[in-house]
Amino acid sequence: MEDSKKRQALPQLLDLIPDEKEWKAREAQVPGRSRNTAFGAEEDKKLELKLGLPGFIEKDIAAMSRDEGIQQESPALSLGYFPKPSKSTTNSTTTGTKRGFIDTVEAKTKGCNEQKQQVRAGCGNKLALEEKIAAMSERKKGCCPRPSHAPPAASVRNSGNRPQAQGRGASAPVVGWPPIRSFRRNLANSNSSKQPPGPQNGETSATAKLTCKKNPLVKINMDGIPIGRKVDLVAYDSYQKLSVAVKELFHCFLEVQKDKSSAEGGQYGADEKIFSQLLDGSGEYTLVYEDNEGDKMLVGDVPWNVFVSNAKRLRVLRSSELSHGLIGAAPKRIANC
Amino acid sequence: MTYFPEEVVEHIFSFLPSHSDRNTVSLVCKVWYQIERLSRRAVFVGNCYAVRPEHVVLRFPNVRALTVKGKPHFADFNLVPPDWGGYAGPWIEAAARGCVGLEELRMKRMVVSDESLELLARSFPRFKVLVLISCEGFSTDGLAAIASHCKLLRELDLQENDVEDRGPRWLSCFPDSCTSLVSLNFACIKGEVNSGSLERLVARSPNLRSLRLNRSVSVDTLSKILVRTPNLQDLGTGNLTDEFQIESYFRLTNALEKCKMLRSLSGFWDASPVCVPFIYPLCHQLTGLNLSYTPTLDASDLTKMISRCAKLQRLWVLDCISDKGLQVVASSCKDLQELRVFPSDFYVAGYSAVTETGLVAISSGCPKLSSLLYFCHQMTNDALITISKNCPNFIRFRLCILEPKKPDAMTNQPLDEGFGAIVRESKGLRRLSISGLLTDKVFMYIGKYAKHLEMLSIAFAGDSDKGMMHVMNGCKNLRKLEIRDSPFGDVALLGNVANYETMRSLWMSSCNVTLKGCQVLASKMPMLNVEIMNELDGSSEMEENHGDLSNLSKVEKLYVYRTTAGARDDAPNFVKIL
Repeated sequence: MEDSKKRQALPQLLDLIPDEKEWKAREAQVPGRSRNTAFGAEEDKKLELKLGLPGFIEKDIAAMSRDEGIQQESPALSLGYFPKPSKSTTNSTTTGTKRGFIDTVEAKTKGCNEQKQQVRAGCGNKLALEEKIAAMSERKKGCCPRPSHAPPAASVRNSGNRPQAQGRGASAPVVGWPPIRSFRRNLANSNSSKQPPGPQNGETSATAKLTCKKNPLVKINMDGIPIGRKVDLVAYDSYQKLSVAVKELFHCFLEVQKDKSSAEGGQYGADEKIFSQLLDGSGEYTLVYEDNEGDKMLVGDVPWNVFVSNAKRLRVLRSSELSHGLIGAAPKRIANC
Repeated sequence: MTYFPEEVVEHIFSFLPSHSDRNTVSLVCKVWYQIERLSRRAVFVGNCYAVRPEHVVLRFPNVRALTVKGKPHFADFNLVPPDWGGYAGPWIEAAARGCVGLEELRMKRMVVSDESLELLARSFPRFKVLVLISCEGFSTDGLAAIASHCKLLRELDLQENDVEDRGPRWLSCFPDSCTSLVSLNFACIKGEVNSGSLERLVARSPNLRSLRLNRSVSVDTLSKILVRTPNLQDLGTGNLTDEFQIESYFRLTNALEKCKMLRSLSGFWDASPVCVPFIYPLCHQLTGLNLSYTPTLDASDLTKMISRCAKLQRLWVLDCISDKGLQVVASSCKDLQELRVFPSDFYVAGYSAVTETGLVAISSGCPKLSSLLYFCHQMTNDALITISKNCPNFIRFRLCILEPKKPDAMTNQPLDEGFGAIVRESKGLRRLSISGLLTDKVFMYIGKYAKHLEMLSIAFAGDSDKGMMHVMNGCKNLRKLEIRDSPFGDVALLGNVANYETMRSLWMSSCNVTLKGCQVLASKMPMLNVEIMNELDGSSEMEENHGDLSNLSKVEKLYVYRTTAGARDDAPNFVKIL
């Protein structure tokens, strides 16, 4: 199954890159188009996952004429279910899982870019599968503040139509959309960079909500895995819990990697080892973050709530890279690799 | 009437407050034209490039109040490149030469320099009112000049401008002799102000009715100010965080309770939820409330406050209020006429806590609703149809579904029927913004029913030129049409060119109009300026390459407007005027 998928997936992925202009938003929904169905063929009909195309999510898209651009972006990230009008959406599930979808989309963006760089035959397949897993587990996980447990069908029902420029959120938004005056946008920006003075009476309850609005989900990437995840730091209240969460986020990717290439030990328990020493620098990987000043810092030095306010991005770094100074900032602790 | 002495005719004209009426009477005969122009006190210029400033001043030398608007509306959303134009300088210079009796100047979306403000301050001895909305190009030094030299200043109203901060001294520049302030709004000033100066200024301004502070003003200062202004009608608070002591808040409540005339409240900024209850004593008398700059309050904080505002007519809020919160608004604020719900989160696109449910609730609870701006992440035709029936009095209906081209959330159909219902039921509709998945059909409805429509904003909508044609043929009162990312091309552009004479302007960006189409338009309609903006090198390519290929190349941004001034001479490189 893997091989047949591989054979189908690879040419499809590459073919779609030059032809993206043909894609129209609504046509993406029509299962009749051969390119779409090829991907969906093996899937459960109901689920019908469509996988994103590496070529779509390049920066070049911004330069293309926008009227085509929006339309062609829609099918790219039609990772999701096709419209089934029967389900009615509740507010929370829609928003919760939609975020999950967008996170997946962003993860995919990253994955696809790295994918192009690697140009490995095996990648296409791995990408396909990883994305599927990412999408499904992301949906299961849901996101702050409403974890989604309802079936995602309704939530991403309309994703086929969605111009994915939006899905990329911070990375490449549509210019001038949504139509908000700069004054308001700047206000939002300055709000998110302002930190609350510290937990005070009455503010602690507000902090969770504050951070949620000011501190949207932060991206987390792991070295060696092209697809990133997003975490809601507010959902955890300690470094330990974060560490556990990181493991949950990435262990399935590692498993998949082990299935394909037998480079890793292939032991199920290996990931326990990988993730257990994230915080003390002694393991194979170390958790680092980028703060609101853009500096790369080691996770664990500051009180948890300060970390939550300051962290803009997380990375699970190979500990061997710490000592090479690749992260730019002087490590605060010596890593024992 | 021609036999009446001029004074009598002039007196009769003074009962015509509207610009359009005065414009009309001036066309009757030469005598009336003269009488009218010399007695005209207020002039409104909707597009600063539609007419030369010198001509305005020449025709109306006795004008007291001048309003000028600059950039097209889509400039608010960064669709107009910087340095496009809209300079206030020529207007202020012309007025300084030709009508020194000027008392009021209102400008929107213009580039105003400190030098211009300086000139303004020194040129008009009776200057009283300065209102700047969404302007840029000046700093607090320009404000200092205004404060220093406009001895009779009544209103200084700065709304959402981009002002460079050069320190707090500007506020201290109001001389001690300045006691005439009625309205002061500096909410958009980013920096600090000297609280002592502010308190003293307020203390010597007994006529102050409207005061909007910026976020640097502390609760203590606010309390002290409010003690001095028991007749205040409109207040924009400073920041209301819990960095301050509770005694400060008690003082604030006491001061607020004395402001029996206070009807409108805004500001809040990063207000802490625990501080908001100190405002509660005011709520029952409020008719206007703007919480849209305040992301720190969640749905329950907001509803607790708003549920006490039974007289509310105008509410601006962030979508944190959620559908449930809007239901509370609907049951509490029966007099609501204007609602604006802004998105609080642009980063995770397509996410908003409000949906069609909230709006339907509002419509059923607030039948007087006439002005709406609503950002949400989904909508349905059913909801829109219900809303249209509940609220047939819409004058402004602007719906922005955050995700472009999103269909009906239940049926996956386009939202044509929903918007069709809105234009059909609200016969007085003057302004409409549409979004979501829309075909040419919605434009058919708009052309057919929206007979009083004056401004239409379209984004990511329509299938073909027919869409735009419906609008151009049907909406006889259309003044401003702005379109982005929609498949309208030359056929639509050229379908009804006579319309452009009666419209103020047309904006089309990322559509299918080509250079050739624009050239045809320019040649057919010499009273229009047809401005083309292409990204960076685009315009120079057009100069060099005269082959068919370039003529068929799509124009990225097109701005067409009627003008008596001819091509403007301050256009930057990237703007080509055909």
